[in-house]
Amino acid sequence: MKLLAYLRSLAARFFHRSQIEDDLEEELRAHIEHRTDDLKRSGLDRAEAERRAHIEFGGHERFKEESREALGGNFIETLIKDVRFSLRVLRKSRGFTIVAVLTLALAIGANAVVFSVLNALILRPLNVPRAESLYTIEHGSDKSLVLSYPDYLDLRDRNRSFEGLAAYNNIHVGLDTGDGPSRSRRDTPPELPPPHSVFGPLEPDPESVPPACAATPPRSSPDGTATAPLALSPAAIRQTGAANPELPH
Amino acid sequence: MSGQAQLLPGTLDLLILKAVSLGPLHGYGVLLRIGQISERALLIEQGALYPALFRLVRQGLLKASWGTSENNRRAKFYELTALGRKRLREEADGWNRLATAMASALAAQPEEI
Repeated sequence: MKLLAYLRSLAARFFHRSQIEDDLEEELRAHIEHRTDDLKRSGLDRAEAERRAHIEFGGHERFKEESREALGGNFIETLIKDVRFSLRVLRKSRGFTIVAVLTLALAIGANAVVFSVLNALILRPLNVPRAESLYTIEHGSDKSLVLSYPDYLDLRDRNRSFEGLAAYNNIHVGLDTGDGPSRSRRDTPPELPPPHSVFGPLEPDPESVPPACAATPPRSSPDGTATAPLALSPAAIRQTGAANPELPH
Repeated sequence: MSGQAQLLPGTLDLLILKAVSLGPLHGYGVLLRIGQISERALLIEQGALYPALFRLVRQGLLKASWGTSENNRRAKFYELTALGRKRLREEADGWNRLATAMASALAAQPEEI
């Protein structure tokens, strides 16, 4: 109910603004006239009485301003005035308005297009071929990304939807590049992806991979089991401070 | 101007409510009435009356309507609403409590402690 009354008074102010302004002006004038009458009655001549009445009233404009504020917030008043003035000017010069709107629309549109292209191509490209066909698999029920290894094997073996599947687990390991060990997270493929590929379907484009990021090639042990390859991310390289660490074998 | 006291913040609203409670008044009339009932002991800047009046109208404590003054001039007359009457009672009570407490505190004698 209060909100309704507020909106109504706002609307009233919007539509009867000049009325309110006139009322305010008239009310303050009435005050000064009444004071002038009183001063005249006490023996002053008209001009002197008027002068005194004005002085006694104090800062006319200041009190008018404060009154407007008390009547309903000067901020809205100013805002409405500005908006109405802009609309009036725009309506008066239609050619300018059309050109300005078209210019803005084109500029904003072009900027948005250029930015989205740049964003996709340069700012945040996924460093894999055909990034658009890369998906994460999660449990339908709990949105969990964590799968048991047998589940992964089942998924992989029955997969007919994807070119390939890769899983990883992450463990914390100590990484020592010569300056003492530091804690680091290691994401390891649980098994070797197809030959000549460290990352399986995630194999990055070799041209765009910083050389320091190169991985050790997967190796097979004599007994037929394989050791996981190791790659350092650029962040890990920065963190260890090694410009081009020699990858352990 | 000696013997006149500056108004404490917030007291102008209370004085206006009191003045208007004695009968509908236009702005200048409110000023005269306050002068009369305070025995001219209070110093009020005349223009400052209006922002206070409009604030009270906006709070629904006063209502205003145009009429003709005793000088035969058009003027806006203010009168108390029911809400204004209630507020006047509350504020007057609060003020009296404060004034009594201040007076008794300031009148304290060493032997009373």
